[in-house]
Amino acid sequence: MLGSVLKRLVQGLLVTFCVVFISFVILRSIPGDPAKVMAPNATPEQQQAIRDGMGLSEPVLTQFRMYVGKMLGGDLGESYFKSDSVLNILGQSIPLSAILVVFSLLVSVVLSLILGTIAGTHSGTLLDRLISSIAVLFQSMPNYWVSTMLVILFGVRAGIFPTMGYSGAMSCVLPVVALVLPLTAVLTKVIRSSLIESYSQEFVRAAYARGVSRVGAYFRYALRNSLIPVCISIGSQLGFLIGSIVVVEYVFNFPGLGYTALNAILRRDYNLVQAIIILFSVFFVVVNIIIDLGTTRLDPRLRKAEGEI
Amino acid sequence: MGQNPLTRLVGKISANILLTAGIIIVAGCLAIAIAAPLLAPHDLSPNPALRLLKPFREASFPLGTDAIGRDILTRLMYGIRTSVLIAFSSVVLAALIGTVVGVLSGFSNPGLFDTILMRLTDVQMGFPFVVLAMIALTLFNPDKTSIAIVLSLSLWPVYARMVRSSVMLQKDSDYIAAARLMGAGRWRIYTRYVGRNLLPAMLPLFPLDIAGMVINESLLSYMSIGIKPPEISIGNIMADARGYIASDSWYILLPGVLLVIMVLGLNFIGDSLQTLLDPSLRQKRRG
Repeated sequence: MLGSVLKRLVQGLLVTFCVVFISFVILRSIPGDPAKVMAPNATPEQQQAIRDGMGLSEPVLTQFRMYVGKMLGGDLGESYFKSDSVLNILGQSIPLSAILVVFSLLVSVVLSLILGTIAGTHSGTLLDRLISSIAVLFQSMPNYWVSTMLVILFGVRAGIFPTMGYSGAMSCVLPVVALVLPLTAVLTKVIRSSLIESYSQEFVRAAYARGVSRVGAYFRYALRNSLIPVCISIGSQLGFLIGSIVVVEYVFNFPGLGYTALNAILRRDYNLVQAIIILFSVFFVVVNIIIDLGTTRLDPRLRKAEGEI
Repeated sequence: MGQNPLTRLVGKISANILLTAGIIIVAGCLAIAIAAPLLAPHDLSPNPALRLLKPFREASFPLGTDAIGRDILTRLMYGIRTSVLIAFSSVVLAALIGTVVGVLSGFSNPGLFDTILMRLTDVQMGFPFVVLAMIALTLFNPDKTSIAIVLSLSLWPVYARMVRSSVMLQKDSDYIAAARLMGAGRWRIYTRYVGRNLLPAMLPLFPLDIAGMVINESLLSYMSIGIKPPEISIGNIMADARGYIASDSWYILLPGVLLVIMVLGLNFIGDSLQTLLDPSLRQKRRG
């Protein structure tokens, strides 16, 4: 168990290192020069001085070595434009995005457990078809369009929620709704089909034969078995969720990580972009390890296999 | 019984309402995509006299006009053309790259080559797509080709992994051994045996992935890092409409509804193909 966790951690570190290296090289070769964006009217000599000051005149590999050295010491550099350290900027935007991720995940999981259970235990009925069709509909709607529709309905027309920027908890409501709708749709479908699958399995029938009640069989056997695919799909949806966050934050001008990332890329703010990429890939690696461990915990068959290795 | 396979297939398809609806929607979109210049009722020149004409008011402009008086129906038709072209080519590209990588990786497993290729897919999947696309599209000039390539970048690892695991399952199977004994060459084994078993798993993915790519392309154009005017994409029509959500919210509704219909059609086909082609699901349906 511990060995496999360690192995995954080492692999994850390697993947993160590759991502950091590749993105470092790519970012340095993007056409467009931060010196020109920062000081468009400066003379070529002044711009050269800016580049020297930021260490941009060194060869890429030397720059990379310096960057990693500083990073290990906890220094991610300064933002070129906000005259603040990258760590501070991230410190302001991460909590905002984290609120969106946590709340949309929580709400989606609860909603989809309810809806998926209703659909899965009543499969083939009108109720099931209704839930499944609405799920397909919301899955087919592009996130940014849903966000814009929410802005029109609740912001522009009704004026209930703020739609631009961040001004307290109310600002999070519409972005969370925009993230919850497609996520709930996907998870509801997964829970529904895996519940149907579980109920056709022998261990559920065996539980009934032993006299386990309907509710008991649902919680202890059917639901538990169904949580494995749900866990896996939450893992794959998290990557998707991070992408959606960039989009939703863009539409709502919500100053979280995604909005910061988009602006940083457009302004060639290398240090900031680099830090965000590192953050994303570390997050992704950690989530994958947690999901792997979670599925192993949930599935007795996998647990046994793990013990034997 | 006694019917030829084609009639049976047609019968099977038409019995499935969702699949039929999907095929009709997708066929319609394809027809519009191919014949947009012929079908479009107007040209694309601006007409300041018809600024933001509301839909369903005048017969000659059924979907209204945009802020500088261009017919929205015409623009949407050209938008579909761009969407279909980019989404289709990016999925084909991703499937091609993914299949080649997957086959090579699967047959060289276990080995260093396989490990390197799989870690490469890890790295690729570690990048959130939107961030990757933003970086890539500032690196290259965003046109149809570069957008299709960027979109396929996010998709090929999925195919590579699927093909790899299928190859690994198959390569030690008895029928591959039998084929080898009968003297089948490597190429024949790839195409005739391994490939044929891959297809049922891959086929339903195509429409689903094309749907995903239609959304992703329009997203990039909406965030103004994709197709730029004067070229038309459903996404940049919506980006244009975004400026009028307070006064003319119908404007952004139209391209969105069109997009949802297109994506729904593709998803219908994908989902139905999945159930039709998967024997284990078919059994369950009957049982």
